[in-house]
Amino acid sequence: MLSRGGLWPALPAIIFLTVFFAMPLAVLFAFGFVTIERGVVQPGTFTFQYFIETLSDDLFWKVWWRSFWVGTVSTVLCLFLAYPLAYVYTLVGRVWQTVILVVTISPLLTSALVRTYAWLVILGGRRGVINSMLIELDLIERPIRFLFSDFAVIVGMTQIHLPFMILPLITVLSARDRTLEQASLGLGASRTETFFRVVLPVSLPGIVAGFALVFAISYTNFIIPQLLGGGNYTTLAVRVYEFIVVILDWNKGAVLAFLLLGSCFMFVLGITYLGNLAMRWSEADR
Amino acid sequence: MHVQIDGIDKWFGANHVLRQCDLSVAQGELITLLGPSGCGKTTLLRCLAGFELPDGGSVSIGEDEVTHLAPNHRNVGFVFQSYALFPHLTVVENVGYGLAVRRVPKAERVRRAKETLELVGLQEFGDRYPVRLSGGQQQRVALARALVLQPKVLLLDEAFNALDAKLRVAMQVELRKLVKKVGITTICVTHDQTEALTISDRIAVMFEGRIDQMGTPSEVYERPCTAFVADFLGTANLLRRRSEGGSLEVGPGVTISSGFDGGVIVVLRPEDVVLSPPKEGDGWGGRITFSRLVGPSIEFEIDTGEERPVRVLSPRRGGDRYSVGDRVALALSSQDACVVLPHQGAS
Repeated sequence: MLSRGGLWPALPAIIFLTVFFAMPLAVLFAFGFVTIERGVVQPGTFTFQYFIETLSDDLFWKVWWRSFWVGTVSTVLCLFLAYPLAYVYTLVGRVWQTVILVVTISPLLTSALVRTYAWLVILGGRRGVINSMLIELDLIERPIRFLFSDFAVIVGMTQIHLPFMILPLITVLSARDRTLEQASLGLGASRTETFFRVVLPVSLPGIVAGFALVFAISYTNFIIPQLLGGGNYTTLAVRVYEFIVVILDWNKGAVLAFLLLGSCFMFVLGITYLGNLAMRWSEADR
Repeated sequence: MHVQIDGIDKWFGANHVLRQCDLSVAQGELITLLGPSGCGKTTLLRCLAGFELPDGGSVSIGEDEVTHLAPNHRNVGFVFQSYALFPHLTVVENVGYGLAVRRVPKAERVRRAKETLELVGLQEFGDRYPVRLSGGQQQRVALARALVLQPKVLLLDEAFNALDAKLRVAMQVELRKLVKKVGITTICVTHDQTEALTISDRIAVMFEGRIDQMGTPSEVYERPCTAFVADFLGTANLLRRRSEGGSLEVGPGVTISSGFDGGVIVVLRPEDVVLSPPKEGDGWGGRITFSRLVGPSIEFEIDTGEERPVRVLSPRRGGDRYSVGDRVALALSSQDACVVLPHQGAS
């Protein structure tokens, strides 16, 4: 592809990303290999010490595991919530399609931070929306502790990242060839069977795209776990924030950032690789 | 199995797309629904498959009335214009799809799929995915996928459209041979008159939601019952004439008998008009205004002083002594030219 058109149309973006993204990131990663004292890099130091210390720390693996499974559960929930909605989108008329799109996209108009605070209000203690309602209805006596738990983090994360799952699914499902479903019916399959045998496999590209995207942003999100998980709730992303901004240990922070980003990259690659395995049929390598 | 359609009506909003259509197809017969786009032919086919439900009338396949039956309960083979092969399944899996749905065990499914693929000459392509097949191969897979279920009737919707001209003719001939070998009742939809003439036992010519004429290819070609049918199938000179006392004058000195009196339209196929050197006196004739070579024949346009020129098709040998500007005399090769009553569809 590159050999034909050349790279030059992408040059402005490449320069911008190099200067403002790749270089600062490289500098940050480099901090993981040198010794920094009082904010000054000590010349002539190069060490794997921080990597070794981090990787041999049990706490690191615990925190990593939480990042991983919270991200995975939230992504899977997003998929199961988004798919039926995206499918319904392709069956209803124009008016309802517009309604679904507006409802899907409008949360993106407010910042994720504001929406996270909104979840604090909803899930909060005695005066939170849910608890005060349940108490008012005499269903419970003392407030349920929703906040500062895996539950709160997963609920918030799922809601906030849902649009990123819905949109690619809507794109793929809207573009699908409906005659395939008629062909399936004509061959004797029921509507349910047609869905599982034809619609679902054909929409796999959208599932893979949505899953990779939502996993990447869930796995690396630090606002939601920090606010809805509370002070003692740590994920890998939260730990990066703590080391760099709170403890000011840039060496460890840089190592953690490197590991977070690197592992995220590996997971996304893994997801797309599995997706491609399942979609060998779409390869246009005639 | 035989197919019986009685008085089908179908509306799309305010659009009356099928108007009281009747169609009767015998067991093993190959019928073509022929007509211009928008005439309702595809809708009629989809009513047979169950993809559309008619607003009135009834559809029977064999002894069963299926008018309102869902498509997955009809056992009707349908080949789509786009073939609609499942992209995520291999050729064998595509062909075995209907069997898988019917819970046929895998080994038998594969065996039957391969047998049917052999029938259409694709036994070596079983493991390929549809994106890696040519248009003609995809069409044959679609055919095999329908045939493997031994459906009661086979329906093809513009199935040759996506093929290039040469392959199209080959596939048409192949389809006819295949369908006759299997002995399945088949209904095709097309807007291509050559295709209809090539493959059909009988042709149903449709216009504006109605079946205008139903007959064998030669009947429909030689004895069109409306000016629309005459014009749609092949080329025709449509001459407006008045018939009196059971006969009419096609041109000065050329008289034929007609069944009606009053205003009629004479249908003259270009190949039924004969050119000769101009005679003395005022015979039927005119001046050649255009000529072109169409393979084995030459087509002439002759200005006879009427609104439209008369089109004449002459064999290349003999026809090549006339050229544009020459005066020629016209005659009919036979006395029984076809006469129809004026119809809205006449152009």
